[in-house]
Amino acid sequence: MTLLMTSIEQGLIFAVLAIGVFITYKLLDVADLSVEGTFPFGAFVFAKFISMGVNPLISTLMAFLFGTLAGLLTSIMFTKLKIKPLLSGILTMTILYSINLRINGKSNIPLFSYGSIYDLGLTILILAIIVLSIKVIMDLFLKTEIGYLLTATGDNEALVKSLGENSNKYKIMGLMISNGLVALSGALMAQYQGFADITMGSSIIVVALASIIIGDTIKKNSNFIKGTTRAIIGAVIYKIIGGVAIDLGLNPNDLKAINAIIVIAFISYNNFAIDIFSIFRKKEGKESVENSKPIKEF
Amino acid sequence: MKKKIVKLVSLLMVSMVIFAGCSSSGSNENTVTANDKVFKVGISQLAEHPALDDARRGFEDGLKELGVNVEIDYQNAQGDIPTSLSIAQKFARDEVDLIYAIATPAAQSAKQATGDIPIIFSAVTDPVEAELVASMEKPGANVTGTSDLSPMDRQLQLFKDLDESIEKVGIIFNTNEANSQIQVQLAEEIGANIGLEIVSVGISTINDIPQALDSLVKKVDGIYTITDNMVASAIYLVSEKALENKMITVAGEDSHVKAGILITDGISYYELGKQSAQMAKEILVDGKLPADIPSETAKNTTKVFNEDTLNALGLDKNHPVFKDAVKIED
Repeated sequence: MTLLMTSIEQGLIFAVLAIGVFITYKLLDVADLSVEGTFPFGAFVFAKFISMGVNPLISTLMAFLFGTLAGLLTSIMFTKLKIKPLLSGILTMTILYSINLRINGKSNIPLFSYGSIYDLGLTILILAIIVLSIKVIMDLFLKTEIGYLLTATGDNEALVKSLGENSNKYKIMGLMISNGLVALSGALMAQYQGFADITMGSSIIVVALASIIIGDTIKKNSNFIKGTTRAIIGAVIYKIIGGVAIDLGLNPNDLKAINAIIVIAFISYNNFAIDIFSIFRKKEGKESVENSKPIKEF
Repeated sequence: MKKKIVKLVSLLMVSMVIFAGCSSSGSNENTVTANDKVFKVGISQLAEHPALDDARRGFEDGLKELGVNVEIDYQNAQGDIPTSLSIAQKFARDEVDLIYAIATPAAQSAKQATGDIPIIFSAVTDPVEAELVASMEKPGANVTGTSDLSPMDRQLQLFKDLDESIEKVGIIFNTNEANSQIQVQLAEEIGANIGLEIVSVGISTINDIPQALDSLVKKVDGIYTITDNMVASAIYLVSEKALENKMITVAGEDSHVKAGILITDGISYYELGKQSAQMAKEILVDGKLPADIPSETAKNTTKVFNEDTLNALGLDKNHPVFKDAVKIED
């Protein structure tokens, strides 16, 4: 298995995570830190179901469903209880920590003896199918009326309210879908690495945000390449960079710093450059005029 | 102009990092003199931690002592599990002759990454629970290794030996670590046999330790420190609090005693590393299969005590408990 293949596989798993965080961070403009708890939550829910004898496909689906419940919890906290979204996310994450330990009674669940969703065929193909299906479903959803209203809620909540819609409804929906996807990603990761561990979620928000930001360096406001696609591409690139960093044999103590520096490089590039395709743009007016005689001479 | 500068600077930063990393990667590879075949060994360590570092050094030194020629590729996941998986996958790709995985998630990732390359684990408290091996005597697959399970029965007995009146012993543990939960359960079972009641407090971050300690010292007669990464980081705090309350403390490993815990009859991660090196030699040089090499716990334990703590508690140095004990060097 080549470095590229394993990096792409991990990248695709985190792409699901990135799409989830894309919904809250980019569309709804809500910083949802609960993902650090929801990611292992998905893994532990999967572990619970598969240890009860349920087949891997359904167990993974259950992880998604339970993830939506986590999203519901966060959204209720900030829509009904008026707790700031940032704090709501942190509170959910804290609650999920205890729940995760309770689900199976242990902090580390080996999954070697159970089947996994990857038994169905070639791992990279299965992941590609999963990610593409999610992307297509999300893109279709975002084009529906509900989808547009969800995007609008993040852009201009007053507009949504002026249309007589309850913007809270869309925030709840967005958070539920987002956390469902994050939990799904956690379940996919647990099956990939062969075990579920309570520390799986730490710093996962960094991975998600880095993926989204890296993806953004590719034509930010294009209609051609959608936000979901950019999230996927960003996640895969991020993991490829990580894989290369390990493979280069760099000093292991510097690994985290190197990942961070590369992300910083991408972000600064993104902030100051509009897009990388600018070199293909037509030359500016002055340069393309060949006949520069002033008009008086005619 | 500004755009160009930023683009240039970011390019420079990335290349600087790569060059800096490359130059120091020289210290990564460790080639011993080659007169026989040189084996490629990948070391996958989960995190930076004194005990785990000791397990690695013991392994490297052990291999040198046994005369095994190795080229070592040392990788550290910095506590990140997906990274430990990538490391394991890299070793599988590089087709190393042996993987040495330090700590449970690193070992599990290695097992997931390859079913062929021999894997030796260390610093795993319960290899059977972690499903690394089918059983300690017959591992069954390509994984075997050394467990850092402490001889808890001997250690808890020290409480009773020092002071018959001790009935309740407190334990602080990190709820993140499966190994810690296992140790607490074991302590409860062993304690029940010798007349000790275990009162445990679980914490999830290091900041919870002061409060957990305060609540614990009120309820117990003595404190037992298990082999737990978080407790190890805050061990000075634990020994201080215990001393303030004039409590007898027993440790699970000798690094705790260095930090002020009174006494332990414990394992040394360095020695555990050497035990692992012996297994490595049997696999690499003697051609044995991991499935046939039983997993081991620490063969040697040493009773170590801290003289300063002993004096501060006002105990008698001539007490039989300290007779065969070694005073810890600071």
